[in-house]
Amino acid sequence: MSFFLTLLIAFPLLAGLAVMVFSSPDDGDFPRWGALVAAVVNTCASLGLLSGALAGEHGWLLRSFEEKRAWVEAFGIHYWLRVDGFSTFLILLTTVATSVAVAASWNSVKSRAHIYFGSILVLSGAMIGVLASADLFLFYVFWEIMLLPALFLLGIFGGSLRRDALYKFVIYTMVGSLLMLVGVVFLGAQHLAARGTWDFGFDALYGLPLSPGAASWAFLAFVAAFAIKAALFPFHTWLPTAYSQAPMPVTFLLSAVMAKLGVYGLLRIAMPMFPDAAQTAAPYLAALAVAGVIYAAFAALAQDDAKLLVAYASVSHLGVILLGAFSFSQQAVVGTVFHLIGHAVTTGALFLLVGFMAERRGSTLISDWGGAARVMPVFATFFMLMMLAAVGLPGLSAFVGEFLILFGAFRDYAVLAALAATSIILGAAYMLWWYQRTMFGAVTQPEVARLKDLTLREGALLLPIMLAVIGLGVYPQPVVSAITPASVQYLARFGVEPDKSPTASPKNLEPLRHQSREHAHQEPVTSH
Amino acid sequence: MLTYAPLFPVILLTLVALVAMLMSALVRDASRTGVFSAVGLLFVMALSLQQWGTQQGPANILGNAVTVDGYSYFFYVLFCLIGIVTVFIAMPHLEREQAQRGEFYTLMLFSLVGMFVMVSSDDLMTLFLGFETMSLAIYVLVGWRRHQLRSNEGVLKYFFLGSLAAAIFLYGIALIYGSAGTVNLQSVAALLTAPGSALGVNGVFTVGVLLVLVGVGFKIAAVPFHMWTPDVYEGAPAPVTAFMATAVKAAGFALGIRLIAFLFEHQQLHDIAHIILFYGAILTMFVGNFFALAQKNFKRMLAYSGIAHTGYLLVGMLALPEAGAGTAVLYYLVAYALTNLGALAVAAFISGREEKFDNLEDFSGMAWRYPLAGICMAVCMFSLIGFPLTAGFFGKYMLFAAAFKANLAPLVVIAIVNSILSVYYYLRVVVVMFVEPVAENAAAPETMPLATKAVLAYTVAAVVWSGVGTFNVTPFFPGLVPLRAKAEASMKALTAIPQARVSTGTVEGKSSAPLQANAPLIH
Repeated sequence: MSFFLTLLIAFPLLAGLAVMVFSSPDDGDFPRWGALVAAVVNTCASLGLLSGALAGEHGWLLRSFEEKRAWVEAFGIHYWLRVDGFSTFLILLTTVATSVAVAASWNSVKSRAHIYFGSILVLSGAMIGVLASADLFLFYVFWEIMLLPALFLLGIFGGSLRRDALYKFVIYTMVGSLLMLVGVVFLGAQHLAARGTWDFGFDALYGLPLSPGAASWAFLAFVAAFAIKAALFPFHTWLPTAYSQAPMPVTFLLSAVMAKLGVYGLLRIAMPMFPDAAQTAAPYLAALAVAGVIYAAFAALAQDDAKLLVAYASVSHLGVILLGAFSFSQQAVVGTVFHLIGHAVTTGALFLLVGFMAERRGSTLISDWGGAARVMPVFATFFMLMMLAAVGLPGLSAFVGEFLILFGAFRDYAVLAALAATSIILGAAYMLWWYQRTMFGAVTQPEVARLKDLTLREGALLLPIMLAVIGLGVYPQPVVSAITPASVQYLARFGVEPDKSPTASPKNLEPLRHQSREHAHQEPVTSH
Repeated sequence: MLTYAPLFPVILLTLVALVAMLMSALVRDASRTGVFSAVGLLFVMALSLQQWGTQQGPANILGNAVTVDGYSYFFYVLFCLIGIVTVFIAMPHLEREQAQRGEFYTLMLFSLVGMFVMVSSDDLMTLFLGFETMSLAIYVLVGWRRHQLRSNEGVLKYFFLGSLAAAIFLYGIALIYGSAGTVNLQSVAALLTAPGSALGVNGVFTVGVLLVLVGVGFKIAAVPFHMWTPDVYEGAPAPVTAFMATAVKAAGFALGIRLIAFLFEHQQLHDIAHIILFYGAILTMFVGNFFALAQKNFKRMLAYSGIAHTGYLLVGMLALPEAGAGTAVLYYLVAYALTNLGALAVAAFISGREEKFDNLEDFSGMAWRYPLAGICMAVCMFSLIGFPLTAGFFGKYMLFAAAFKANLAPLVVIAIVNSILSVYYYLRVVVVMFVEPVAENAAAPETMPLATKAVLAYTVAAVVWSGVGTFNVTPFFPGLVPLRAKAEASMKALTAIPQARVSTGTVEGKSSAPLQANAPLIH
């Protein structure tokens, strides 16, 4: 039994609590350094997973990370951790994003720094826990723990309207999680009825015979929880307020990782555990997703506050991702997981840039800017690249995922996919317009003329993101082929055969098909 | 002599109460009476745990007027725990209010005696004695700050309404006696289930049972008998509020569960009770939560939140025939007691002298001034919401799981909707304490007394520990009453009842599971 995943989760959690408890407000830089060291160490450690994902051609090495212990035996609740192609890259994303968020908040947090940096670490640990859980109950526990540090980060360190944002965020989230709790209890009770014991392990719940009527309600309960997190239209209204009120590094973390966990939950739990209900409801949910794509794009066009603009842009792109999550083709599923990362990188970078802008100018209102490219050319270059990536320029990270999703979704929902494709045009419109108003033109305001260009620290933060944007865009194949086995397994639960597609070369597919069947019937590895 | 051994905890507690009474007359330093009461309760708790561990089935003594079984022991331990924590909340509080008197502790001990009798009586008259012993002592405690208008209003309301409830309860007993010819619960149950008996369809008997239920509904603050709660909770000193919100409510539920187990064996009566409880639960949940949303005073808010929790517990009572529902209700009571004790201990401390600052806005920013109080309040509020890794979460989870199994899915959905409503007002407390700046008119900063610190640390540890670890570890630790033992207790209580009566049909299917040390909590 390996302890690797436990360490990956426990280390940031404990380090975060230690930072909160063992330092006081007047400890100066201790919380910063403590959090940074912990985050970077965890990032390096998480690279170990990468070896598993990329080295074993079919992800077999990932199985060796599995851990399973009894937690509450009477209820069939396990402490059960596992990773696969879906979760590996998201865990990596989480650890990297944590390090970046800590570094990005270096100067912006003045008071109560120990609470701030401790909360970021706890949030990171909880998010890794969500991604690594292989037991529904454990998943739920981590899912809820995630809310607490987010609540503190938004409530204590947020902007002037943070209280409203906080209530909206927490109440939306809690509504979702309480509904999910009903779903969890329902699935457990169904397992009890069908097999005579309580069990919450994912493997036990996949393929469970469910009574159709109740199952569709339970499916909707799960979807509500995940859709709220992933800001599916019309459950997205918490997102713009929360994103614009939270400190920018926190927004970065929320948008890069936490919103993605909603989609992850759909792919991991809601869809495959209720295949029939999912297939019935998917067209309607996909329609909502596309409605969100277009609505949020128009909303983004209308914003004068860059924070809100990026927030709405993020809702719009999440709509595309959700469209992929509600489709049942190989390309769409692979594209969805890929775009979770691709979108995280671009939107995250944009929020960081907005944060830097806010630190410099003291305002993120677009009308307070203009002509900044003359004053800060390096910044403008980075900004240009990230903006083009967000728009979906071929050769950059977001393009691959978006293309795969639209391509895959087209088979299931031709009209919806065509409508969603307009987001690329609208996205180009609001992004380029924003860039033009902020960076180009004459410098009309004296404050803008005094702005400083990108500092070394900021550049060092953006550099890895930029490399990821280009790397994922130019050579996505390793990541795509690492995601593929998991997506084949996922689609098998809906009876969808893996097809010959540009995403999975025949060389990969044949053994995969074989393997997926093996996995489906194989008993979970249990070593005590 | 050994026949009466199961009564030793009650006898010991009565002795402790009597000595405390003497001490309050003879010893000048009243805090010594407090310490003596806490130590005495600790001994009573140890004795109860010891007897609980070694008991062989239910003991029917004193001509079947008293039955001491695992169920009773469970509540003995819970009451002792609440009593000890209350003493620790009360000592520094009364010191500050300059109302430190030995009689406070004596009265609390006597009300505990009443509760002990309530949870171990098998006879409606004995039960009523316990009921009144408890109530009378509490009336005095509620009016402890007799110079305060709020306190006077509270005690007057509680006394009049409480007396009315007691009268109704007694009238119900009279009607039951009139129609059944006995007040012994086992005999009544035997008569109900005897072949050819018409007792179950007897109108007088039915009315009697319903009147008894009204008395219980008053004590547990079920709608529509909840009117007294907010005023009394607000008017009573915070330690008394804590004691009432936890111990009195637990005693009421203990009584309710026992009555339901005995009196509703008859199908028709059961159906009537089912309908009443079903709609009562819905009403109680909604009224509690909706009114709690609007409260500005912290103790009033907790009063309405307590009403809402009564509603959740009623859902559990409806599911009672289901094995596991008993465990769920008992566990929920423990979780609820721990969280309320913690929350009210915080309120007792930070609301300052004479509790002038017990409005929610007076708590602004207090988490930064008193970090331990902030943490404790946050943990308790999240436990009341039902947040994972707290006691409240597993309480709710077990309750809902049992209700699901008992085909009460609509009630589960309603309970979830109510939990969602409740998020706002619990969250508001946390937000006020952590997010808002320190209130200008708040009480002056003071150092936290050791006793308060101990209570806060204890409730945080207990609430979190019960949410994380109780399942696999069996801690012999007061307050973290081992869940397995809890399950055992409820199982024993539920299995003991059918054994004790003339068994005819209906009961066997409900709880025939044999008792095993490692039996699953929910089957």
